[in-house]
Parts: sequence; C-alpha cells; structure tokens
Amino acid sequence: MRVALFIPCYVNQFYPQVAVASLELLEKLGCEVVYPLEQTCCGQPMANSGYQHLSKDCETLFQENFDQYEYIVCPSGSCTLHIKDHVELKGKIMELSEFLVDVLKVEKLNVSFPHKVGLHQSCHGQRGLKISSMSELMSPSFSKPEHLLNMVSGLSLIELEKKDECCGFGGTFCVSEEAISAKMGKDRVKDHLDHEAEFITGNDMSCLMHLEGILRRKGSSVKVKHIAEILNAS
Amino acid sequence: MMTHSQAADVFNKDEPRVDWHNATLWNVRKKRDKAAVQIPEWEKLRAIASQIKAHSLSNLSSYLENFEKKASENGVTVHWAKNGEEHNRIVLEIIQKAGLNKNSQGKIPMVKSKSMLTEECHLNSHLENNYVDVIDTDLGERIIQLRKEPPSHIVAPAIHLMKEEVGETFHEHLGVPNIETIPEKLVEIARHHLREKFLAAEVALTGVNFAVAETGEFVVCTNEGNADMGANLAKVHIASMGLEKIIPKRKHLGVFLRLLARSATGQPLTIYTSHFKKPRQGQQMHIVIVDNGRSRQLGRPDFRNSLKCIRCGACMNTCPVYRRSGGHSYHSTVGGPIGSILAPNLDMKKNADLPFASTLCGSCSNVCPVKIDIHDQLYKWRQELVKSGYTPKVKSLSMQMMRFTLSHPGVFNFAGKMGKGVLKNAPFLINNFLNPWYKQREMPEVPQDSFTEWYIKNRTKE
Amino acid sequence: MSSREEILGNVRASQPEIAELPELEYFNQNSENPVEKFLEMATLAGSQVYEINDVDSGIEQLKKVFPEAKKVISSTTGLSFGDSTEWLNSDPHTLADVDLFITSALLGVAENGAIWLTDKVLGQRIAPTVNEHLAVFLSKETIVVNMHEAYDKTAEMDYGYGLFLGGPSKTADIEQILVLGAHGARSMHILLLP
Repeated sequence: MRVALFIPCYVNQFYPQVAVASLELLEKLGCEVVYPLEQTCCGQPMANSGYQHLSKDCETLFQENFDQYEYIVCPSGSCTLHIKDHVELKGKIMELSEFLVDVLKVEKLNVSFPHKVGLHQSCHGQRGLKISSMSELMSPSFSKPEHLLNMVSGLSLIELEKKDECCGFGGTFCVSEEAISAKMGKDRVKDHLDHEAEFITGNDMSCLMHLEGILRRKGSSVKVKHIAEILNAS
Repeated sequence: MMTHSQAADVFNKDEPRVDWHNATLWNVRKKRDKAAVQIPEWEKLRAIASQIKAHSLSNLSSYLENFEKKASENGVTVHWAKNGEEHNRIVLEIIQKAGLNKNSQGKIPMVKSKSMLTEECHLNSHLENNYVDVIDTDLGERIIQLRKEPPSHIVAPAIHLMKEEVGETFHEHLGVPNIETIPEKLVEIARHHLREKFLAAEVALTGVNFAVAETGEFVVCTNEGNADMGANLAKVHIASMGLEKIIPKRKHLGVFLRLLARSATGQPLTIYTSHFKKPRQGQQMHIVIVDNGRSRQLGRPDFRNSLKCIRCGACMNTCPVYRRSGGHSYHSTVGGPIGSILAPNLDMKKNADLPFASTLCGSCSNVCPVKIDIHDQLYKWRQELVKSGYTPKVKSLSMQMMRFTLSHPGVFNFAGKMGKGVLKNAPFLINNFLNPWYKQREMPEVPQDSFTEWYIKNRTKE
Repeated sequence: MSSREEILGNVRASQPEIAELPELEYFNQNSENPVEKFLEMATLAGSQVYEINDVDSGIEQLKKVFPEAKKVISSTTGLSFGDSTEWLNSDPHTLADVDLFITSALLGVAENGAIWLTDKVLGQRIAPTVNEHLAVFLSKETIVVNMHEAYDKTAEMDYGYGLFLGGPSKTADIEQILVLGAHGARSMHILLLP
C-alpha cells in the first residue's frame, strides 16, 4: 500500500527520531511510504489562536502536497484533526495508530519494550478523532493506541487516576496561560509518577514535549517516547 | 480588572489550595459519572434533550407567546425586560406597588433563592439602594453575600471556600461566638438564621429552571428547599427567567430533569423539584422574562447552541482549567467553559480573554447534558474576536510572520537549517526566565538534523 | 414599541428555521422491580422507608419514631394522629412550629426515590417544607419506573403547585460535604402501603 507521510513541523525540527520511527514502522508493515519534501505545517497554531484566516496558505500548500494520495498518515492526532476539519482532500488523512488498527489491521508486532509505560491520551486524537473511548461518555470502552501497545512484548501499561485529562499544552495556551498550563502538566506527570511509569508515551509529541519539559525540570529519570518509537522498537 | 491568565497566576501562588480546589470539583465530576453510568439510555437522553432545545429555540417566539398566554390564564402576571436594567426596574416596581410591610429599618424584607440571572443583572445592589432588604437564601449564596463576593460556580457558589472561612464569616456577620468548622453545625446555624428571614419576608424571588409553553407553569430546582420556603410564605412571588428557559411541553420535563441533577451533582433528582403554576389564594405571582442579549446570541448561528444550557455546571467540574484557576478568574457571572462562550456575547471587549482560557480539550462538550459544542464555540469565538480586533497587535504580527514561514517550504527548510530558525521564536525555545515556557519547563534539545534533512540523506537517491 | 413587542420581534428575526421535535420514549423496559428500586433510591437520598400493611400500623410506627412530637398536623383525613383541620385555613407562617406533618403522596418514582405532591393533597403549599419532620403515605401500586412515566401519570392532575420531593432537605454548599436539614424537613419518613 502506498501512503504519504505528513510530519508535523515541530516534529520535523525537534523530534526527527519520531518521524524516522513512523516511516520505518510503516515500511516494516509493508507500506510504500512517500514523504513530500515541500510540506511544512497544518496551520493549526494560527487557527487555534484565532487566526484561521491566516492558515489558508498553509492549508492550500498542504492540499498541493498531499491531494494525490489515497492515505496520508500523520504521527499526531492534533494535526490530523486540524487537516480533517479544515482541508478538503480527495484521500483520507489518518493518525498513525488509527491507520495501523483500522486500515492495516495490525494484530501482531514482533517488538519488545520491557518497561512500565503510562499512556497519555492526547485530547485531539481521543476526543476529536475518537481513537479511544472517553471517560465522559457512557459508551463501551476501547483504545486503538492501547490495543497496539498491548502487542508489545514486555510492556506493561500502568493504570492512571485520571485516564484522559488534558496535559495543558494547548498550543499558545502553554505560554498565554503559563500558570495553568504548567500546573496541568505537573499534575499529569505526578499521576504517571505515582503509578511508577518508566516511560510516558502518547500519540502527540506536542503534549509529550510539554510533559518532558516538566520531567526534566524536576530532574526525573522518566522519559517520554512517542508511540511510534515504541512500536518500532527492536 | 485582571485577565483570566493574570487571575489564574495569582490563584496558583497557593498550590496546596489549587490542589484542594481541583480535588473538590473532580469529586463532583466523579459523582456525575457514577450517576450517569446507571442510566443505560444516557447518551440517547442527551441527544433528545439537545434536539428538544434546538426545536424550542427554532420556535421560540411562538412558545414565548403561548407561555405568556397560559401563565396569564393561570393568574400569573408576565413582564418583559429587554435588559438587566429594565428587569431590575420591573422587580422594584412590583415590590413597591404591592403595598408590603417594612421592617424596623424601614426596608421591605425580601428573600431570594439562587438565580444566576439576577446576578447577571446586578439586581441586589439596585434593590438595596431602594429600601429593599435582600437576603440570598441558598446557603452558598448567603455565605458569599455576607462576604461581598460574587459566586464562583453556578451550582455551588461558595465552592471556592473552606469550612474554616465559612466559620469565620459566620463569626463575623452572624454573631457566632466561636469559629465553627464542622459543616453540620454551620448548616444548623444557617438554618436558624435564614428561617427568621423566611418568616419575615414579604416578597420572594426565585429563578426558573424550565418554563413550559403548553401549561404556563415553571419549575424551580433546589436541594435545600429555599425556593419553596420563600415563595410559599411570602405575599408576592417574583420569578426571573431568561427567555431561553422555555420548553414546549410538560412531558419534556422528564428528559431534562433526568439529566440535570445527575450532571450537576450526581443526584438522581434535586430534592425539591417544584412546579409553580398558579398563585396561592391571596398571593401575587409574577414572571419577568428577560432578554439581555439572548435574542442577539440566538441570531449568531455559530453560538446560538449556547442557549440550550440548563446550568448544571458539569462543564466547570470537568474543566481542567476551571478546576485550577477558580471561578472568579473568569470575571463573569457564569464562569468556566459555558461562561466563556456566553460572556463575549454580552461584552466582547471585556471578555475577549475568556475563549482563550481553554486548551480546547473537549471534555466540556462531552459532559454537557444538552450536547452544546462548547469547545468548538470557544474556537469560533477566537476567530470572531481576532476579526473584530480584540486581540493584541503584537500577536497579530507574529502570526503573520508564522504564516509566511509556514506557507513557504523554501523559507521553512532554510530557516530550519539556520538553527531551527523557523521555530526560533517558538515559546519553548527561548532560554530565559522571561519566557513563560521556561519558568517551569525545560526546552526540547535541538537535534543535529531535521527529519527532512535525514530523509534526503537516507531515502533519496541523488 | 413595548419591550414585549421588541423582544418578540428580535427573537422572531433571530430564530433559525424550524428544527424537528424528537419523539419521546419511556425507557421503562427491562427495569428492575420498581418497588425495590424505590426503596433503594429513597434510602440513598436519606429518607426512612417503612413497609406497612395498613394506615393504622403506619401511625403506630410514627408514634414510635416521634414519641415527643408536640404539634402534629395532617392533610390526610381520618388519622388518629394530628387530626385537626383548623391549620388548613390559617396563615402559613403559623405552621413554622410544626414538629411533624403527615400527608399522602400521589405517586412515587423508582429511579430517584421521589414522591409527587400537589397543593390539593397538601392543604397548604408550605406544609411539607416548613415543618421539622415529614411523613408520607405512599401506595406501592403508584410507584412508576422513571420521570417519563411520572409525567405521563400526572398529566391530567389539576394543581397550582406540584412538587417532586426527593428526600429530606439537604445542602453540600460547604466543601461539598452533604448535610441533611438545610431549610426544609430534617427527616422524611415514607410509609409504603401495599
């Protein structure tokens, strides 16, 4: 299967290993992966700040880069949701874990990650793309990322007190509401630490970057890892 | 006036208190979950409730007229107020014309049960300036009235206070000799204090939770019984209602009442769910229907759904921002997520910060019993506020630059090479304590190559 | 133009195209035994529930619970407890010192343990709220599954004031700690008749 890979701008610049893991993982699972070199950003940073009218150029560029592909895969629930809501495409954009579960129907992964891992449910993937059930809704529970992580040998997912509370990153919210953003992040980190996580994983590097910033400031040895990095472990 | 983020910053100076506030409200959210999960048709009920409200709003003028007709036939006098000022004037006129007795201070004694609408209209100060002695009788409201504070939550107005502070308030204002801290004892003190007020009141004012177009009756929900104590003793009962409270038929109450208390506090029903249809013999009953910006909101297609709100407060209890910033940080009668989509309609300039006081996580929309798309409306208000020029100029400039870089791949990649210049101004990269990111968080480490560079080296042939 | 005309005009101009009104369901299939559920929910809300065989044994029960009640009034006629009618026409304020008020509910709701009262059965609207304690006779056969059924069953009732009462008066306004006896009755006793 031929898929196009869309890498969020900040992942491209700061977390290239997450993009590499996404690419290699898709290749391992038999996909022919195309990475359009002219790609930049989905436009969400501007839109969520109230400047949706300025994100038009980004969205047009996105369309030019990706319109020819049937599937566009992106290792971020947040950017995927923004494209889904704002860019008209012939094909379909999907967040990485939902693509693995729904399209590739992955049932087995020959990887091992013998650690206690806490899963951070990023809001846009969860409540926006519905890749997991939500604690607020009275509906059957499911989680695509959990389904995948359960295939990793040696990995044990920890229980959290609040299984789907926002980490407080929120785009420009992280600086415009610094006090609340940092407090939310600290509380999320505490929940993971209280339950003895060795790693915090998730589907959005932006949330993990925020949590990582807090962990490192605390001097904690707990690390963040994008779900693609774990699923692509050896 | 402080902006939301400034007020939140102050609130967060006392971290143990933030933790306490967060935990208190999260408990209410947990109670809500426990109650909702027991109703197999919960999600279906939410959908039906939302549709009934959508229908009511689409036929609101007829339902209002019908309600007025039925209520009048029932012996209730109906008044109409365009705004808060007119509402306050009408209420005062009703009181002054009723020939009521004055107390020893020459004031007409009045009791009020919880009404966010009268808070919105600033009724109390207007009446107090005109020789009416207004006593709020909901316990939480009475506590904050004594402390001269606005409510911090629409269901639990004093949820920001600890029992010790309530004890101090009663000691200072009610002549309690010691500082009582046991909730049972504090409630007992309030019971006696307010019973005197109920028995002395000449006029009672209540809010309205639902008004039924079909029958002209209105429903008031309390747990304490304070609306019933007031209205069923006083000579005059005034009910203030926002015009969006109308529902078509009496049977629709079943849907909303099954959702309201479960969403609000996790109870299956409020203890007193009272239906007022006709005045009792010798009593006057008045309803004041208030617009105050509601018809304008109805005319905004993106935001009219906010008028479906039944004021359960569930969005506040679940909101991770509200729980950590406190209700007063929203500087508006209704705080939290719902308040942040209602307030800009009342005053765009004053409330321009509120739609930004959210991470758009979407938990609010999920708990809303009438399925208001709260977080989508927050997003839309942001667009509206920027377009109308209510955001800082500096921000607009940086957004313009971001747009230029992010929409030109050449610039983007070049900037990337130049020390991650594209995101050089990204908040998480500036290493000093003036940068809000760096205050409590480390910045990401900058790698050698971007992914694009890696890809060109490893996956392209040339 | 009057405010009324102006408001209605603005509303008419602002309201969207008519949206369809959904059909209602009763959601009362496969429900648990309503009487058992009522007992569970009423108890949870802080009411005391007694299953009794007849009115007389209910009165005996009340006399046991309130041996020292001084002022007892009832809106249910023919009881050997609180059998007076003068209060019906007195100023409602004079009921403030009632120790126990006895009445009969028209309906009970299983899903929340609430009972339905109207001014017709109460005699005075203030009666169930201003007293210290409240006792209510309720016939098991009037218990319905949920609020949808409750509104259906009470649709034809004539009242000026109607009340779903879910238990003793309560508040959680201080630190969310639940306390019974806020302004209304401190305790509610439900006497369940067969």
